[in-house]
Amino acid sequence: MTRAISKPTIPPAPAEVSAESPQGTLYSVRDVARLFDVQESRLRYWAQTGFIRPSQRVGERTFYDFRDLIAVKVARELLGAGLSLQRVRRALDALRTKLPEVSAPLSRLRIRCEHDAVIVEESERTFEASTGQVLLGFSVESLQQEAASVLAFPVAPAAADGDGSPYDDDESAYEWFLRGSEHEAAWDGEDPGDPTLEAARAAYERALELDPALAPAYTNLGALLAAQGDLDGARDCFDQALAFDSEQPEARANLASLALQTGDPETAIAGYRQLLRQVPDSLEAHYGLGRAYLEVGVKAQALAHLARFCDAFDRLAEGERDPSLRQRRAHAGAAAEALRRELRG
Amino acid sequence: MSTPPRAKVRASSAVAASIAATPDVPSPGLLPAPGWSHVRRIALFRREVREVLAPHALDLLWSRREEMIEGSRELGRKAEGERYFASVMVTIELRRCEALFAEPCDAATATLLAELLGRSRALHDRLVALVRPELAGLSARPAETLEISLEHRVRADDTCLLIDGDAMTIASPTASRLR
Repeated sequence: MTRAISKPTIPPAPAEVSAESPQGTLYSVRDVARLFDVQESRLRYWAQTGFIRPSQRVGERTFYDFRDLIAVKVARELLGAGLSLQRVRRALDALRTKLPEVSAPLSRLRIRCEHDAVIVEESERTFEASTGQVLLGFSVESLQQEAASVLAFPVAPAAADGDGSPYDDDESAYEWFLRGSEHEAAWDGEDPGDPTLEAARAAYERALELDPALAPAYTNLGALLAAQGDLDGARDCFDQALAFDSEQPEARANLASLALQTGDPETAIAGYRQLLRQVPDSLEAHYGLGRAYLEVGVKAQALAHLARFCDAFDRLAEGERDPSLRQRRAHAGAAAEALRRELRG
Repeated sequence: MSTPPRAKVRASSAVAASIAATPDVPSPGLLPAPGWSHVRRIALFRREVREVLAPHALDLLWSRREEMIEGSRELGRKAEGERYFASVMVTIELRRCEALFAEPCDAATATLLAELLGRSRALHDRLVALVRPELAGLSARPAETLEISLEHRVRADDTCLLIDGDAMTIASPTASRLR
């Protein structure tokens, strides 16, 4: 299992990691996610957008070094304190320019932030936070200890795969993706806390760790997060999927669906229309448009798209009609009939 | 990479009951939320679908149009020839075309048609042909000699296609002398 590695050697055991100098230790996205309790998808999103990128590369994989960890901690705390992304980005830029200048070992630094400025202190003195001025302060030494302690605890096998050996590094990203898909197919569709979903999630995240450009894994991970109620995380994933595959219809449909479910039917309509230009018979687009137009009160359009959804469903082969689609067909048919009566009247 | 979407969103029994109880009042709440689409396998191929107006479609639509044309001369302009303007408004009620086409003549079709007609060169040329006699009459020049520039917009209002065109021609003194 890869937890953290010293460049450019093979991953050491967790016990070895805690004994290394922080500059020499590299951290996977999974490690950083655990350390800061941030979703892996969000870290990948930050990397993709250039907000915070893992600065080290070993072979095909990228890793965070300890300086990156400091940046993630600063970003997380500033965002948590309510600063805008733009201000946090400025703060991080300032941090990046200061860190290389300091002469003391990283572990002896203190870092604090006043408004947009990040101040790096080499002394031992404790700074005092005052409301509205000082937003955060932490000793790097304590972060180092936290990092070491997180790395010392392996991921619970059940959360990763359930076979006692969390990862088989011989498997490709796509094999992990397929495994996630299989886990998800076993989900009963009801309980968002079902262990099969967690297993699916771990598999998708592993796939993305191995291939950060695997768009379908972002899509499915996003759908899974959405099913678990994490709509922000889901949006990040769908955005990522489209960043790597701008024409993927599933991610496009999900983004529109997300807009609809978060009370933004106009954005949903625009998204579904874009999907229809690409896939004119898309069931999801017609159903989503029917519902979105109902929300904005454009009943003739709602009727037209619900009728198309029903027609398209009726043309599906029996094996393609899953229970959810059948249920939506029944509701859409009833709603279309009611709309017809109303519009005739 | 596309595979049939799978969704596991379920409507409550209360929703189903509300449909049965109030079928005449459709609302978004009657419909279960859309599902989440998944990728099951990476596809070898991705289809690219292009929707364009079929041959004869515009002929048939055009045959059901209602039109109104107005023109005027620009006031106060002296040098470089006189400019003449014409506006054309064409209305096509798609519902009246139901017997003509294979597709349902509903609001969704009207929206798609408006999108396609908005960038149709053939429609542009037909609108120019409509305004040409009006501009020729205003400028007192032979219709076939006029150089007409026209911009058109198409929108759908329910099942009605609303086509607006703004045309302009310049009757230059040089052109007049040549004739």
